Amino acid sequence: MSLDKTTIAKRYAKALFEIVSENGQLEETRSELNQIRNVFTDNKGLGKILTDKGLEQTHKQGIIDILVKDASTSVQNLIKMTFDYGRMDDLTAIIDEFNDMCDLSEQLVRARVISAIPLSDEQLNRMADNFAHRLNVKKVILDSEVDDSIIGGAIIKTDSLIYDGSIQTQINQIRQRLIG
Amino acid sequence: MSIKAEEISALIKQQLENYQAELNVEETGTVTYVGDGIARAHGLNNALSGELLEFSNGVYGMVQNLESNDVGIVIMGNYDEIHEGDTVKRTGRIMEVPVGDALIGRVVNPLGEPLDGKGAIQTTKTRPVEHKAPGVMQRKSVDQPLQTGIKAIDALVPIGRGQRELIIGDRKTGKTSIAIDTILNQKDQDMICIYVAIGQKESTVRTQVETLNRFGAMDYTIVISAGPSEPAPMLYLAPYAGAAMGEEFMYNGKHVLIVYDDLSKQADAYRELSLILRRPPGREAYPGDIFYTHSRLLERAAKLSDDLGGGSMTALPFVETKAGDVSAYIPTNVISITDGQVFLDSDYFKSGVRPAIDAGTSVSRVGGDAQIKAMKKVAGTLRLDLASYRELESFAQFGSDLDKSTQAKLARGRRTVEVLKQPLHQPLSVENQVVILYALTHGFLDTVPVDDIQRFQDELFNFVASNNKELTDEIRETKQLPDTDKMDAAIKSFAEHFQPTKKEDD
Repeated sequence: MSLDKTTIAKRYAKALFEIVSENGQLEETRSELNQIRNVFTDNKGLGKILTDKGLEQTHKQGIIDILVKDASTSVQNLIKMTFDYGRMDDLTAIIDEFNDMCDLSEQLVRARVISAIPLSDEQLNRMADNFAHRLNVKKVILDSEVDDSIIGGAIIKTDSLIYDGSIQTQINQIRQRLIG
Repeated sequence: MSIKAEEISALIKQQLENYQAELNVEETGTVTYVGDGIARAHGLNNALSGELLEFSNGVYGMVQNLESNDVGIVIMGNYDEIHEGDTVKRTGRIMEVPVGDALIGRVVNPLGEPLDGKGAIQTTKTRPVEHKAPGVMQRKSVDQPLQTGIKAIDALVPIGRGQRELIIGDRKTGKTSIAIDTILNQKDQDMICIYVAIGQKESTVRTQVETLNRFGAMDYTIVISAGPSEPAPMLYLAPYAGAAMGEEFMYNGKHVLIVYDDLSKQADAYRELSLILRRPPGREAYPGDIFYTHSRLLERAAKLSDDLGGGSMTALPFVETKAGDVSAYIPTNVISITDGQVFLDSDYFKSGVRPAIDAGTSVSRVGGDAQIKAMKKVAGTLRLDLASYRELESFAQFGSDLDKSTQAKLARGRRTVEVLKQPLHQPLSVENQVVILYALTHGFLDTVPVDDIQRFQDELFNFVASNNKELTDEIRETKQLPDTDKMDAAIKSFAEHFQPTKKEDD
C-alpha cells in the first residue's frame, strides 16, 4: 500500500529536523525552506511537473539546479533526495510538517483570533501572553480577524482547539437552555 | 388553563440568573474526505473510539477508526452538506438513545427520533447504545416460558424468557409473520416488545405497524426502523439502539421481547461501512470483527438474577439465507451464537405448511426447561413422530402395500402436520394448544379426515370453552396436565358428535 502524504511528510521532516537542530541551523533552514515553499505556491503544478515520469530527466534536473543554487547544504540535500525518490509533490507538506516541528520545539503556538471589532496591538499582545499562559507554552503568535456576526467577545482558534468566548455562542447556549 | 405571563418570566429570569458565561473550549479537526456515509478528519488527537462528533452543519458522527494521521467517522444522517475542510467538534459523549416508557407505542429511527408524526419523545432518560452484556453472576438460567402462540414453536422448539432463538430461512418463508404473531400473543403477558426493522421497505414496516395497531399490540410495542434509504451507519446502529431501549426495561425488572429483522442486512451494512473505512475484508468480504458485531449484540439478551430484579430480554434475531444455504458465513456465525434456531423451509411454505417450520433442523437448546409441565407431557413424542413420518413418507410413495402399523404411522403423521398448521395472526393460548395436542397424541384425531382437522380443532376449542372450562382453567393455573380420564371423557364426548364434512361426490 502506498503511504499517504502525511506519513511521508512526517518522516522526511523529522529526519531533516534532527540533522538541522544538531548543527544548530534551525532558523536559517527554516527561512530557506519557506522561500522554497513560496516558489511552489507561486508556481502551481511545479511539484507535479517534477514528479512526472513522462518528462525528460535532464529537463527536470535543470529546474532543481535553479532551486538549490543558493541553498545551504542540508536544504540542497533534502531537495536532491526528495527529487531522486520522486517525492517533489510532497515537498510543501514536508516543509509544513517541518515548520510544525520547529514550533513545537520552541513551544510556540500559532492561533487566529476572531473579534467583533478590530483589536489594538497592545490588546493582541496581552491576549497572546494570557493565552500562552493558559496553554502552558512560551509564546503565542496571533493572527487577527474581524467578524461582526459574533456580536462581541472573541474566539481563538488553534489547529485543534477552539476557545469560544463570543456573545453569539453564549446567546445560543441560553436559547438551548430555555428550550431544553 | 390561562397562560400566566408573570410566572413564565419569573422562571426564565431564574434560568438566566443561574447562567454563567463559560469559555467554550472545543477540540476540533478538519474533514479531509467525505463519501458514502463516512468521513475522515485530521486533528481530533484525543478523540475516543465510539465517541460522538458534531459536524459544522449539526449532523452527528461516530468515531470508528483511530489511525496514525486521521480518524474514520461514520456519519449519522445527511452527509451531502459536509464538505472537505469543514470542522468537526468533539462532544466528549458517546452515542446514546432516549429510553423509557415514553417510547412505547412509538415508531422511531435508530437515533430515537420519532418517525410516526406523534410529536417529540417525552423522556429525559438516555442509555449508551453500546453497553456491556450482563456477566455470569448477574444471570440466571431461563425458567419462564415465552409463549409465541404458534403451536409448532411452543410444542417443538419452546422459547424461554431471556433466550436467544434464531429465526432463519429464505426470503418469503414467513419469518416476519412469526415475529408479528409472537408480538400479538404477548398481549396482557406483561411483556414489552421491540421490533427492530433493519433495511426493511418503509411500506412493509408501515403494514406491520398497522397490523400491530389493529390487534392493539402497539400499546406495548416499540418499532425501530432503519429503512433501505438510510445510510449504512443507521442500519448498523439500529439493533444496538433497540437493545439499549430494551435494557432499560430489563434492568427495571420487566420482561422484554426484541426482534431483529434482520441481521443479515445489518451485516451487509457493516460490511459496506467497513470497506469504505478501508478495513481489510475477510470471508465473503465481511470485516474481521463481524462475529463480534453479532455476539456482543445477542449477549445483551439475558435473564437477570433475582438480585437484579429478575427482568429478562428475549432476542429473536432473523437471518435470511440464500437458497437454503445455512453454511454461509453469517448464518453459521449467528447459529453458533444463539441458543437454538427455528428453520423455515421454502418448500414447506409453498406446499401449504404454514408456518413452514422444519422440525428436523429446528432446535431450542434451553427452552425445554421453561416449557410448562402439561405441554412437556403432550409434546414429548411429537418431534420423533414427525421425524419418522418424514422418513416413511418418502418410502410410501413407492406403493400402497404397507402393513397396518406403517399406515397408522403415516395417518398420524399427516394429522400431526395438519394440526401444526396455523393461520396468520391467530395465536393460540397455551391451554388450547395442550388440548389439541393431547387429542392428537392420544389418537382422537386418527378417525377424523385430514381436511377436517382445522374445523375439528376450532369446534373442539369452542366445545371445551363452553362445556369443560375447568380443564383449560386447570392447565392455565397449575401448569399441570389435568387427570387423563377427564381429558379423555371431554374430547370423546365432542368427537362422537363431530360430523365430518360430506364430500360432494360421495
